[in-house]
Order: sequence, then structure tokens, then C-alpha cells
Amino acid sequence: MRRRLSRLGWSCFCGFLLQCVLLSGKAARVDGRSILLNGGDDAASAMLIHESQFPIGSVLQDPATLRMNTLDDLVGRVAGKPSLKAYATWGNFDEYWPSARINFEGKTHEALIAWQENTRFKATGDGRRIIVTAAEGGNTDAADLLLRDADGRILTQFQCKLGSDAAMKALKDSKYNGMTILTSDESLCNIKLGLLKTEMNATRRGIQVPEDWAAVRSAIESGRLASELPSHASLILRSDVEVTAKSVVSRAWEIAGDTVDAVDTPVDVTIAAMNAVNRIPANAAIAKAAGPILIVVDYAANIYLVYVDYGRFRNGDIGGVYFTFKTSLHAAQMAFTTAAIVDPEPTTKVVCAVTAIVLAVIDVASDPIYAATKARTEELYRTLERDERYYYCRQQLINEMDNAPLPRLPSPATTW
Amino acid sequence: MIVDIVNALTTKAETERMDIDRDVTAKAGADKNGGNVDPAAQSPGPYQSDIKRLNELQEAIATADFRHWAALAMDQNVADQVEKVQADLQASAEKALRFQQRRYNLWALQQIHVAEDAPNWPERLGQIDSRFLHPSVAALYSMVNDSLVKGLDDHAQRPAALRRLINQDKVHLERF
Repeated sequence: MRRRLSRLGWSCFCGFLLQCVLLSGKAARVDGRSILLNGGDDAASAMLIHESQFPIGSVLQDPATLRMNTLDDLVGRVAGKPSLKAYATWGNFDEYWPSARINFEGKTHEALIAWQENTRFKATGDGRRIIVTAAEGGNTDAADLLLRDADGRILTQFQCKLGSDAAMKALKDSKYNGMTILTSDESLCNIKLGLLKTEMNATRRGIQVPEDWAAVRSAIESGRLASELPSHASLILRSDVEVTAKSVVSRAWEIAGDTVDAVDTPVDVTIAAMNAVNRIPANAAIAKAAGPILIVVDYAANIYLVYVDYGRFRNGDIGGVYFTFKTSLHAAQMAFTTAAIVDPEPTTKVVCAVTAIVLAVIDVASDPIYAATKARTEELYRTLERDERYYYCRQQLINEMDNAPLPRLPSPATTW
Repeated sequence: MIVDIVNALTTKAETERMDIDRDVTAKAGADKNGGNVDPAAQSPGPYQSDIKRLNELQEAIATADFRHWAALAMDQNVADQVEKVQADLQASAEKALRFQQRRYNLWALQQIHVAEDAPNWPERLGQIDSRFLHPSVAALYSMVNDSLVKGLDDHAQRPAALRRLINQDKVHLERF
């Protein structure tokens, strides 16, 4: 018992520590290579323990990067491919691409550098090769690319940043210490232009160039911010990356589509329904804002209708049973409408929406049906009451006049 | 001699009264069991004929002055018999009159029932003479009449309907 309590206490303590780490906003990377234990914004105070999977000087044999036969294969291995779920969610590539391009373009940048450089190296008989760490299972490694000699020894680590801001930020990031930053040709131009403007401004005003920009100048001069690729070829154009990424992922998308389309089951219908539901809120920001508004409007409308029904009930226009039925109908309709709007599951969304619509139709249709039924019932009661009235009157007449004394007869003078 | 004559006449009157009384009772039974209670096309009606015959008998006995002849005969039995015949005739006449009124009320009841749904309800209700109605039938008559008059949405129709109601010829009791 004591041992169990002790174990429980230890578990609680560990959980508490973990929560403290998470709640204090400090990211904890526990992939075994780098652990950031302090605020990420303040680089000076950061204590970085960085253990690269591919340290310089280590040997990398038979890398997967070099086994890829096509650029598509390499991009697919590095960046991944559109999932069936993405295909089911978005339906067509044009709608899917804007949300996925940032991730794919970054990885395509790495793959494209490696592919083009290795092609050049092979063409020129150079034994060096560029290796993409993501293709080697190092998705979380700080380095994106590695330059390897003919013997497989790693010579240089590269960090790829497609944008100029990201490249400049990477220069300051201690995580990338010792790595060469590779960016796109346009980004490098932008950085150099910004540096020139800053330096001219500082010269004109007689002040020192800010530290950030001084570091950029130093990085360019030292080659840490690379102005060319290892084969001395120009940096890759961002537009090339964009075109390549789109075409490669597009082809992968078609393959994913073929896979899904080949499944001749109700899955198609489900996917189509999911697409129909998901596309609307995902693409239209107004639809997201419309959800809560729709809920509020639905609640207000249903409460008002219940209030109206209550008034009819109090006036005797409708009975208690029908009032209860209508109130239940409104409550159920509200619940299903809310579920249809709030629930993230597409199938549930569709089912709830359809149910809510059916309930609304029943609500609307029930009034004339109830009115007709009530009219028929009232007519029946009226007929019964009328016949009963005459029957009773006739019986009273017969009973009384059989035995009663002679009624008083009117005199001729009072004839109407 | 006088006694024999008076006896013969009273016996004849009694027989005649009993025939009429049976006839009235049979007709009343038919009325009670749902027989036709419509008025005759012309006066007098079936009950009215019986009443008329009974009245004639009463008048004949009164004219013959049987009491006077019974007093001359100094026979108390004859005097009693004359008294009895006169009382029976009066009772039979009252009975016939009561069943006549009952038939009138049964017919009125039918007319009121029909009038509730009939477009010519003013004529149907107007032909009923409410003075002959039993209180329960009269109450029904008033109720139906009120509801039908109130049911006229167009206020211009009300005076016209009431005019038709009032100007309708009444069906008299003598036609029953």
C-alpha cells in the first residue's frame, strides 16, 4: 500500500513538473538531439544543448538521398505527399495548395538544391554530394542539408531558408551555429539591398550600422550566408522552387486521387460529403463567423416560437400534449443545429444538419395538420353535442307531455 | 222508458269516445316511435279531427240535457253514468289536445334541427309558432335562432333574415 502511494506521489510530481514546463511556454524538444530549456526569444540567455544526428566529420554511408531516381521521389521523401485525408478534405488541388504550399515549398527548396547540385557533381565528375537530412530520417535535425565527400564524410551542414526574414533570423539563432545558411536568389538580393540601405543610412547619419545588419555583413563576407551553391552555381530562384513544388505535389495529388477514386465503395460518397461540408468553412472566413451567429439566431427564433406556442396554449388554441410536442421539437432542433455547426466531424455535421432541417419541416407541417385534426374533432363534438341535445330534448318532451296536465293554450286574440 | 233511452244514448256516446280514444292513442304511439309528424296539408289534422268529434259528442250530450232527464227518472245510477260520460269525453279531448301539441313540438324539433344547416333557416324557423312549444323546445328554438342570427357576418343580411323569419306564415296547431 505504501509502495503504491509512493508511486502515485512520484507520478503526480512528474506530471506537475511536466505541466509547469508546458504552461510556462517553454518548448521542450525531446527528440534526443536538441533540448531548449529557456525562453526562445532571448538568444543570449538561451541554453542550447544541440546534438546533431549528422555532425561534421561523421561518415554517412549509402544515403537515401542518392538512391532517389527522380526529383519527384526525392521531394516526396523529403516533404511527404498529400494524404488521402487531405484529398478527401479538399477535393481538388487548387483549393488544397494555398494552405499547403508553405510547408511543401520549404522542403522542395532543400530537395531541389540537393537534386540540382548532385546532378552537377555527377556531370563534372565531382565526388561530393548534397544529402537531405529529412530524407535520411532526420526530420527534426537542425541541419537541412549536408555536404558529403566521396568517402561519405560530412563536410558542411546547411540550413535552408527560403525567405529573407527567415534567413536573417537564422543567422542569429544559436541552433544553427556553424551552419551555412542557404536562401533563394531573390532573398539574398533583398538582404543585400536592405544591408546597403542600412549602411548608407548609417553613413549619412554618422552612426554605426546596427548589430543585426553588421552580423549580416559579416555572414555574407565569411560565406556563412551563402551567395552561391557548393558547386559555385547561382542560388536557386524562388520562382523555380514554387513552380517545382506545385508541379511535383500536383502529380502526387493526382496519384492520391487515383487511389481514392479506385475505391468503389461508399467511401466516395462520404468523401464527397466531407468535401462539401469542409470546403465551406475552410475557404470562407465569413462562414466561420457565421456559425455562432447562426446558433444565436436559431436559439432566438426557437425561443420566440416556443413563447408563441405558449401563448396559444394559454389561450386554449392548442392542447398541452401538442404544446409539449412542439417544445420538444424546438429543443431537439436547437440541439441538432448547434451540433451541426459546432461538431468538427463532417459526417456528424451532415447528419445533424439534415436532422435539424427535417425537424424544422415537421414543425412547420405540424401546424396545419394539427389545425385540421382539431377542426375535425371539434366538428365531431359539435355534431355529437347537437344530436345529443335534440335527443335529450325529444325525450324530455315525450316524457313530460305523456303525463303532464294540459298545457295552457294561447287564446286566439294573442295569435302572432 | 227514460232510463232505457238515456242508457242507450250514453252507451253509444261512450263507445264512440272509446273509438276516438283508441285512435288517438295509436297515433300518439306512432309519434313516440318516430312516425311521420308532418302537418296535414290542410286543417283539420288527424288529432284535430278527433278533437272535433269529441267536442261534437260533448255538445250533443249537453244539448240533450241528460242530467235533466236523469233527474226526472229519479235514478241515481243514470245520473252518475251521464256525469261519467261527460268527464270521459273531457279527458279524451284533453288527451287528444296534448298529443296534438306533442306532435307539433316533435315536428318543430325536426324543423329546428334542419334549420341549423339550411340556407333557408329563416323560413324554417319562421313557420314555427313558438306559443305552442314546450319549454325545452322553446329554449332550443331560441338558442338556434340566436346563433344563426349572430352567424350572419354581413350586418345588412340580418334585417333581411329577420324579416323573412317574421313574415313567414305560421303552421297552426289545427293542421296536426
